[in-house]
Amino acid sequence: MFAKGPSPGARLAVLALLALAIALIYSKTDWFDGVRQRVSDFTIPLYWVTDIPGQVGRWSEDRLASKVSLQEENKALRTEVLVLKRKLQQMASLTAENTRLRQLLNSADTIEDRVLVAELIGVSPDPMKHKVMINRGAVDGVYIGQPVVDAYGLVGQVVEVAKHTGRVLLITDSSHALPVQVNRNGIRLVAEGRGNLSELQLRFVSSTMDIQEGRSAGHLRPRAAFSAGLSRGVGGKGQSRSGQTFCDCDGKTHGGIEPQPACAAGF
Amino acid sequence: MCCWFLIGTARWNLPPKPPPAIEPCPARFLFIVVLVVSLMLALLVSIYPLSPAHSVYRPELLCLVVVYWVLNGPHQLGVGVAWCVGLIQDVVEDGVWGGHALALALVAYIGLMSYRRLRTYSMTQQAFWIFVFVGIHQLFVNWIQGLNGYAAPARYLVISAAVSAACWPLLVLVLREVQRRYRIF
Repeated sequence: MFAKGPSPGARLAVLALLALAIALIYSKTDWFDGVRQRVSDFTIPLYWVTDIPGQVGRWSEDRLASKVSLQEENKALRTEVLVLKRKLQQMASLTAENTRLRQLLNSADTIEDRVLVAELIGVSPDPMKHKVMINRGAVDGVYIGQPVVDAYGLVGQVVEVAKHTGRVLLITDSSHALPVQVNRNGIRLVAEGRGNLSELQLRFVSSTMDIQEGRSAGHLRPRAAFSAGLSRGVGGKGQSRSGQTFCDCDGKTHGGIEPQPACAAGF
Repeated sequence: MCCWFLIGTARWNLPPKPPPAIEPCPARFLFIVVLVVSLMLALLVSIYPLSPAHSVYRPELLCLVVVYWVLNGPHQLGVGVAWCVGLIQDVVEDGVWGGHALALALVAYIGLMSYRRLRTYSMTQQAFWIFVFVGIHQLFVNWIQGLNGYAAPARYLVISAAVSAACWPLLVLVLREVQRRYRIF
């Protein structure tokens, strides 16, 4: 039956050229963007299916938790609430002060507080690619460029919105760069992802900058338009070589960015 | 599917033949069902959520299944089918489109050229060849992914190829059993 039609070699040549053309068009132009948006409505249900074992696991964990562990968790949560309530009081006074100061400066930059809670339904299968899928889409008011936060701060931003789902690019992805500011002294830097979930790289740090290893790098405050006012703790580990004006620093993200079942898209 | 379509068109030029006495239709239909189900399961495995640390060790199951059916299928998969499967994988995985399509078409072509020899090999020898096949597959996928800046370090490719080769005997056992049960030869 294979005597008919073009030979496998000829077919391979044609299809390989076609694949290369598709790849080039996909990566160099935006002609496929419309198709991609529509196609992800069909492909994301597959991610739903693969998430079922995880959901069953979480459900059974909820159902089969022992009384002792529940009591312990309850106790820990109560303690945490106390700490957080104290911080909230401090926060309220600081917010009021901040508003007054901003009024003095005639600044229109206010921090909004609208948060949409989303759940993670899929992770990019490629280990080099740090993208996750969330169960909120255009219908819920998710838009491209929306910052995504977890309990420790900024996680990423929404890069693709389908009807009921969205894709989030994490700040640790190697294609993501983020302008940041050191909380302690206001130094501005660029934090790049490196394809490693627990590391960011600070580019072009001059050797005279006041950045210290460990806690003193403290909090880097993202300064990008999409995420002003959110913070992500980063402890730094500088690698400076003498004779260089600029060096690159590695930073450890606080807590590490683990794909967690729940995260929130804010603002 | 592509080659069946081509055969279908080629028949128009032939003089009309008497219909075959034994109808091969149900067998072929069964084969297509088993093929699609196995490819679908492999696709689900390839997107099963794993943390990036574990994701490195994920076997390239879709590539293995395509190679299996190229080597052992009763109606052989062509380069075109492999290409379409690869494109679907690209679309679902949200990588650079065309990467898996190119790699799977190439692997299917090599499989088509060498299946007579590979069938006679022992399982260990076959597993070694699968290591080479998946290595080529990974090399091309990685090259295309590199267009968007997502090229993986070389050790990831070797690990993936090695894990896939280790999974090959298991896959052969399972799919042979399926073939035996549904009498797809």
